[in-house]
Amino acid sequence: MGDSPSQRCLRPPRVAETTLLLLLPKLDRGPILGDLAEEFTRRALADGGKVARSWHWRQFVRAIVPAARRRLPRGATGRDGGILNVTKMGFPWLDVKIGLRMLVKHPGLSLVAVFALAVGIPVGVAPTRFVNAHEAPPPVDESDRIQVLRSIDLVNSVVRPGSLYDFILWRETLTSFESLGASMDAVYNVISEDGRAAPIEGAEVTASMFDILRVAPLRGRTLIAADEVVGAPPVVVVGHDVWQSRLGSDLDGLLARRGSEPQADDSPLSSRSRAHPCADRSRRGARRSGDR
Amino acid sequence: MGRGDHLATFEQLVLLALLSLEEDVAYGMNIRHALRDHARREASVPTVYSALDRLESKGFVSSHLGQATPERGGRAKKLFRVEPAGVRALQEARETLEAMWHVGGLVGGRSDG
Repeated sequence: MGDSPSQRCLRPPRVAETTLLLLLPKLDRGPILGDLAEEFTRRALADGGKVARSWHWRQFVRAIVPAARRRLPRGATGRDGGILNVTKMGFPWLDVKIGLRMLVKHPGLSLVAVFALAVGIPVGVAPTRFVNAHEAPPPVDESDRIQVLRSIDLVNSVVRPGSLYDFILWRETLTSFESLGASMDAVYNVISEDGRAAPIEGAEVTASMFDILRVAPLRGRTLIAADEVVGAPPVVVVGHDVWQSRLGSDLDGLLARRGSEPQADDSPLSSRSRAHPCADRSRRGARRSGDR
Repeated sequence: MGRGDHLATFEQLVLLALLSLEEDVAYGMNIRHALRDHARREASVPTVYSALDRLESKGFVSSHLGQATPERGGRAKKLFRVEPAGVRALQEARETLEAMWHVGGLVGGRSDG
């Protein structure tokens, strides 16, 4: 047989009671919930169910933290040792308590704080997002697969020039990237056959850079692993722009000299004149590259 | 009195509230009412019970379960009684406070400025 409306009215809110039942230690449940139920009944008879319910919910809010603390071992929440023991359990119960107290006593201030966080965080992050969104990606296919590795001096907060040792160490130990390449920007004095001499920007790169960039030669070949062996003849990869502007689009009989030493040239041409440190991570998640 | 046996202000208030109640009605909610009516302290029920726990562990109060009533949802009351050690602790706390008030010169008409 169900309860009459008047009987239901004299029951404390079930959600609040159940929550406290779960929070309180077993020995406390009877006395504390009994006290709350008794006062609830008294208020419901005197002032009506609505007032009693409102009172019970207020009591519930105020009782949450003390009830939860009673469940913890004595001394873990400062019950014996005071405020310094509050963090022994690793959870800032005092912060929760003070936060709830502030929420109840100063709801306006809490609203302002929440609003400040809700607005302040996005506003603070927006410039970074804006820069990232408008930063030109590397001019290669699927540029988001390419990451740049840099060595940072944490003491002086500066980017430390990479070393060959770093590169070899990373190449042998890093497993997050599919391939690792390195490059070192440089300026070269190029004297073309017509006698013009002018510096051009270039880079010394590892053979893997071309695979990473997915740059195929228009003629000849790009660098291969054999070119990295000590004593192997140096190989020059000429970019399309330089080929047109400085070499007169002439490939046959092209001879490059490094100092006074003639270099073999396989006439490789790519559509881009510079290599960048980059890496393909399309096969295994992230891929790596290194600066030298 | 040991270092851990001192009485905090709230504990003193709870003990005094307990002393003001008859033994058969000396339980959490009535103690809370006494604190609210006479000391103007609004404390949650679990907070009152936490203080009573501490007092009981120090031997200042003792407790036993009372009768269950329908208006309590069939749950028993936990009745408390102040032990002689609790009364002594209260008296010592009062004497300590009064001594400090005298030392501070705030008893007997001292005024600022």
